Amino acid sequence: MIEKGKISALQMGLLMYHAILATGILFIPATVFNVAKQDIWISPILASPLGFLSVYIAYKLNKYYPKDTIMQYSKHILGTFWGKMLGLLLLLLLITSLSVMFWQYGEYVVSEFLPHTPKSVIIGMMVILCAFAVHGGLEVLGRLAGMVFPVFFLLFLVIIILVLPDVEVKRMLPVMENGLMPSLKGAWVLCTWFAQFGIIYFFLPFLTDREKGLKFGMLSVLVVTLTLVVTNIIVIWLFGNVTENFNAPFMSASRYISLAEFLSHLESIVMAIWIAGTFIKLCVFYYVVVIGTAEWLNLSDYRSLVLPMGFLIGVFAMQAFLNSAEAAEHFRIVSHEIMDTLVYGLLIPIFLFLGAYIRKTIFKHKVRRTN
Amino acid sequence: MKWVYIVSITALVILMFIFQWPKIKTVEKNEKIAFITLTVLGWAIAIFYVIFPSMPSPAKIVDFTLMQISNIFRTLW
Amino acid sequence: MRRAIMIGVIFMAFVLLTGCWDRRETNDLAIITGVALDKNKEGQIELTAEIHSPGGSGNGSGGGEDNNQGGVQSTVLQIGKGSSIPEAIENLNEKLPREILWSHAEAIVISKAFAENGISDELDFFVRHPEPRLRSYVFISDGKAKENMALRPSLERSVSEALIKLAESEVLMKATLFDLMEMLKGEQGAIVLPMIDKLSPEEGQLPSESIAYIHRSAVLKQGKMIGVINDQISRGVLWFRNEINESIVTVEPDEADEIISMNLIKGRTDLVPEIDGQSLKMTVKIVTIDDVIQNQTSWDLKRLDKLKALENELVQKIEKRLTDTLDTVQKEMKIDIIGFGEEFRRHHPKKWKNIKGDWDEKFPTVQVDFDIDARVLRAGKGSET
Repeated sequence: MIEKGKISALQMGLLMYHAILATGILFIPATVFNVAKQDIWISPILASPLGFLSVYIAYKLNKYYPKDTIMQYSKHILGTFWGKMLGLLLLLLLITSLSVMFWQYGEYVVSEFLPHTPKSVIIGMMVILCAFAVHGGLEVLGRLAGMVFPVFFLLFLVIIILVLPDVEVKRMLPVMENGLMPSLKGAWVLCTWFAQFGIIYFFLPFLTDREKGLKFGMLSVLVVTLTLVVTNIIVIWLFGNVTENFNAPFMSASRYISLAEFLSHLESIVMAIWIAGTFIKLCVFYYVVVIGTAEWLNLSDYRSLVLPMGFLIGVFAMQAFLNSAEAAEHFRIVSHEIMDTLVYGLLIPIFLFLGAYIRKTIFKHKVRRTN
Repeated sequence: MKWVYIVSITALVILMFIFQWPKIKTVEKNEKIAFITLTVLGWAIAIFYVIFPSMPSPAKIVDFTLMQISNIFRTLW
Repeated sequence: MRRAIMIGVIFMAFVLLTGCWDRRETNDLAIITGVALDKNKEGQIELTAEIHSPGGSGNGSGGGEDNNQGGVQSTVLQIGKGSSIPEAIENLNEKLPREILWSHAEAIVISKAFAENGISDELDFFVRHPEPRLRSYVFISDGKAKENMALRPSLERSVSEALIKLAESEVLMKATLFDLMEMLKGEQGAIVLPMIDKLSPEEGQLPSESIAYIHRSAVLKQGKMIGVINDQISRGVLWFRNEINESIVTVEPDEADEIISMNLIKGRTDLVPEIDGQSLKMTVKIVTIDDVIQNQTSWDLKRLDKLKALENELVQKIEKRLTDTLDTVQKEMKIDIIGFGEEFRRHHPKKWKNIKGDWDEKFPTVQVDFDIDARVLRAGKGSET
């Protein structure tokens, strides 16, 4: 096995929590608002079954092949050649996805906080930082997630509480003005995020307490859903129909806080939360890409790939989109038309699961017949 | 201006190489090959993008391909 | 070899971690405390920025007390011109030796002439820019906005600070940038903003020593100013919008010929819309708690029947005020600044879709009922003659 470290199921749950929510907490309310209007808080609830399904499929596959990650059992299921091809497809999707995440990070920091700093420096620094963490291995990531989560959650609660004096519940009315359709459309947008839970298939084989894997995976989906619901409700209570004017409503909400005339300008807190969360998210995907490549190439160690892969991803991230219109087009495609995350998070695992199911039942029959 | 980028990218890649190379265990041939291939690939792509800055990125290529595939499915429907 | 590389990396960290690109030192910044927007005769935008002057507040050597004394100007004015706000800002930047910091611009004064031409497009800048705050207060000025900025109030350090304090006292209308955006996005696009006026200087005062104060409210439709309502009506509008916080009500009971004044402790308004076929009905439910602060009549307010009578008077007084408001807003101006449409949408979303299109015609026909519950909590001691 390529990864010698082990993490607990709880740590895996925390890793997944950050991997989904870090970008989501900022961008989800505005993206979903475009279609769901004041019903944005219903959408996460409607979209969460997809997350549960992704986790469940990954868990089932892991039951069939407890010691392997997706790169290895795709070979068992489809045969060496097709397994490798599927693995390559998966890697390409993950690499592009990761490069877009790095781009998003860089773009946001540049546009909101450090307008004069070159983007290459911001992205480059993050790549180097993530490379260090990924080089440390899975255990390091697990501990990092365990360390960041309490801070993340506490500051999140602080922001929510400080926003409360300004909220007005009636901004949320009328609930379901145009029926269920808008919130369903919003849920479809959210599928991009929930489908990412699929990458849990890279972590399940490395658990110390494997029987708890499903439980904590499901719990992670649940907590993500709850966090999103709370965020969306707060945003809609605070901003109502003005939400669409903001790129990142949660950030604007923190900017809006002003208590007793001195407790104001708290956006740096949100920025701190966000950078910490995004760091974990980027690390998770970076790790997945690196370990996936190493397994795909049958290497015995993945650490030598960390830096060159980081360099490649950094280059792709720099080049990802030339202007905000191209980026908007990309995000429109991934959130309304066809989603790359849906392909690698759900479609490929389901496909593999069906293959494995057929193979296992046929194999069982054969065994019985020979007996 | 472009050669400044090329030189700095090359310097970065060499630095990375010097940093990582001694760490790879000498018995592992596969790893060395993988490392060198990836490094050279990254360097080549970076240089390529520096020379042709308006070339599409993989993200856009993936978008395009996925759209094509979904269009095929849609017409088949 | 490796050690050499590590040392190299560490030195690189020294260079890179300083974050020089976006450093902003306080003494390189021009902190804008207030903005005034005017349109001049050529149709250009004149942006007057009130900039905090470091010399003005920094020399309080003996603590903070004597900062504003001795006639030291704590703010300076600078004007930028251009065909749009960003252009005006660029023009302003050319004249300023320092980099502009927007995050403390908490008062935005827009001139009447500007507002009559429409403000929604220009406000886009303040919304999009990451620095200006959503809590900035917006005012409409009667006359030139920059003239208000040129005043030197005696109590506060600058005009914008005085304006912010005035808005926060909540005696009259107040509107933040966020409120403005919400009203723009609302169903009707009807906006009401506080207006400021200059107090004509007292005898022996310099013209610039006068102060700006909130007086009347401006009514805007689709971002364009169409009218003005007076202070009485403004308070009525505040009642309808459930924004009333400070108010003094004076009643003059018929039996007694003197007056009783009451101070509002709490006022809460709920609008209950009803749609019955084609007719629209709005019930205005008000609960208010008041304290008596002056009693000139011979009424003994310790007696329950008198107190009841007083409460009755209060109800009638409030109802009178609100009916006056309705007469102006609903019947004359025919503009929904009291949020009726929004309430109909919230409570009857399905039926609202049919009304929405011709709300402008429907709004004046809405029948309004009042259900006012006024309580006088403390009658106070005072004279019992």
